[in-house]
Amino acid sequence: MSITEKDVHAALDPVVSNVSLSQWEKQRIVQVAMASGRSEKRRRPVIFRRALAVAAAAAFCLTTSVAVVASPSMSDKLSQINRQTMRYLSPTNVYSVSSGISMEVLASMQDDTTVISYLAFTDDSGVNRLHDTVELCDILVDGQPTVITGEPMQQEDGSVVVRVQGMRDPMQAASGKVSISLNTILSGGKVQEYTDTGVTAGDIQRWNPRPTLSGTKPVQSSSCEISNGKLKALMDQGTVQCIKAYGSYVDERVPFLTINNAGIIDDALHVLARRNPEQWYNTCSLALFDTNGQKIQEDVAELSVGEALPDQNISSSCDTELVEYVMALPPDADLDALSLYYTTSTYEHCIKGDWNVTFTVPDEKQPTVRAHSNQDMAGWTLRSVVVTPFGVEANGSGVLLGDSEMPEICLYLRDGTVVENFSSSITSVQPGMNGEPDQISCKYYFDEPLDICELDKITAQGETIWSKRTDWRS
Amino acid sequence: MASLVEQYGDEMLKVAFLYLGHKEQAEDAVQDSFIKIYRAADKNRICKTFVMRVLTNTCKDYLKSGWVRNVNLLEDLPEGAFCDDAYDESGALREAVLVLPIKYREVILLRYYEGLSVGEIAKVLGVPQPTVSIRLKRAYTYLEKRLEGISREHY
Repeated sequence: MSITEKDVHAALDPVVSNVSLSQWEKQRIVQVAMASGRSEKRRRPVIFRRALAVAAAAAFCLTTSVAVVASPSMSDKLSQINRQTMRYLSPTNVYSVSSGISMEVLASMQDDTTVISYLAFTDDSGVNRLHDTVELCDILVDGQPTVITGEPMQQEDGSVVVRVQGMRDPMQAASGKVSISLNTILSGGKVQEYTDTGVTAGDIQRWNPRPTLSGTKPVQSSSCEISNGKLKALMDQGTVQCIKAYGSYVDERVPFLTINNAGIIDDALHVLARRNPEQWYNTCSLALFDTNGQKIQEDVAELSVGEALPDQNISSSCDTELVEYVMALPPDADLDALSLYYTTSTYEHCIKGDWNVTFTVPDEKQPTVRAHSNQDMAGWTLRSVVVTPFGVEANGSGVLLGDSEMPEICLYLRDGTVVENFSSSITSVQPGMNGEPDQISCKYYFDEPLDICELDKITAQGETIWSKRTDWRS
Repeated sequence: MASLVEQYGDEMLKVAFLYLGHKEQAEDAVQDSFIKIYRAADKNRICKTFVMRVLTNTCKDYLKSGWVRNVNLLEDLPEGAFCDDAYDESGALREAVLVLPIKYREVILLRYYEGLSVGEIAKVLGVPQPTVSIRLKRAYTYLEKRLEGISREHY
């Protein structure tokens, strides 16, 4: 027999078909080489080499990008991102400045339905208003509010890098253009854990034995912990018997809340308070604790009552000025043994601005694994599971019922790792037309991109639906 | 430098991967190789032979260092996926090449995958041409026996 070049290529090309350098990696290699200089050096450890690579690539990108921010190098800002993620990122380098804060899109990556961008925020005002508790309240990707952000990464220079992940319209994804807009940044967040106010239910009963009612008020929104349903009727009817406002008291520990009245109505402690709408981002919760410092396991509700405030921030927790705290009392409780505790979540800075960027992410086709299925999910049928470096999408058709099963997808990797927990998920249902079944899609996202080549097996509801050894061609 | 990376980068990564069997290590090897190329070479001497020489030496350093995990390249391949009942020659050849000892595998890769001549391979590996010829012959013999053995199983 004879072996030709063609034979060897035919034999080996499938092994290396997915092995290539991205533009990012090529840039990085150039800069690493040039940054290393021409003198002989000892071999560096791998970790440092990668950090150097990122530093060099960052310097290269900053000098070649059209819009360059005069800020500390991108390398430092991306140094906390692991190598696996870096492989998929394309340098972006666009920025927007507002209110003394610059928002720079460092790098991005996308598939058909998701875009992931790393944003760096730098305070150019000299005040250093940014902390690692930065929250991007109203960030939109392609005009969509469904955005998931990761933990902010604080940099040594005071800037903060945030990973942002947004759903895309497939048509827009095809164009590669991404728009990101933001109007509110919160920073300097602090949580005060439950603390004794020094007041008991007995004290309130003595101060206000016959609280005056102001009549029912509409409940604009509510949050509650229902344990045995006492307050459920309140939630269901949409209105609540409120206590009448009488006087005002501001505790210096919670300066954004003015207490207007408190009293016991129908076996529940009511506290009426007025929020400062300008500090909508600061919140307070109340609860009753026993003498052992344990929270009472009865219903607790916070009801936003009264007229809705205009021009609400998209994520504001303050849609009305008035909040009625309702805490159900345990039967036959000693009121003097029930202490009123408070907890707060506050922010040092609320920075309003107008940050807007539009950029293009290269349309690099990501490797994909498709698995077929025909599993009965109680109302709908799971038809396919698609795995990309960014996440898993389970698709099917039928009707999503209350007791329908949700896909339980496990990814088994070559090294034995099992990926079964995902950072976030989105379920969407597209109603069928003309009697056709609904199209159901459940998308689960990884914290960091997955190397598809490491995938060995996929299971759904415990059954293997894809195996590299038999199904790798799909 | 950028043009060199653009010209040789992907090819080097593929060869490094066929050496090391691990993508990330292959990327590190390529990066290390370009550092060496930048430091040591002037523009007139940079050619494919020189680039491959730096790369193969770097890959061998990696193989010696123990940083590279002991990888069976065949783990990248699905079992029997290329060798079905009709006896897939490509799959058999692939399997045979990837289990070759490194000194035979590299001459096959450089000769048949990279298309280098015996003289060029000698420069790349830093060995005399007769040594390259002998290694090629032995690699060829090994592949022949292995492939015949496999083909006999299927008929």
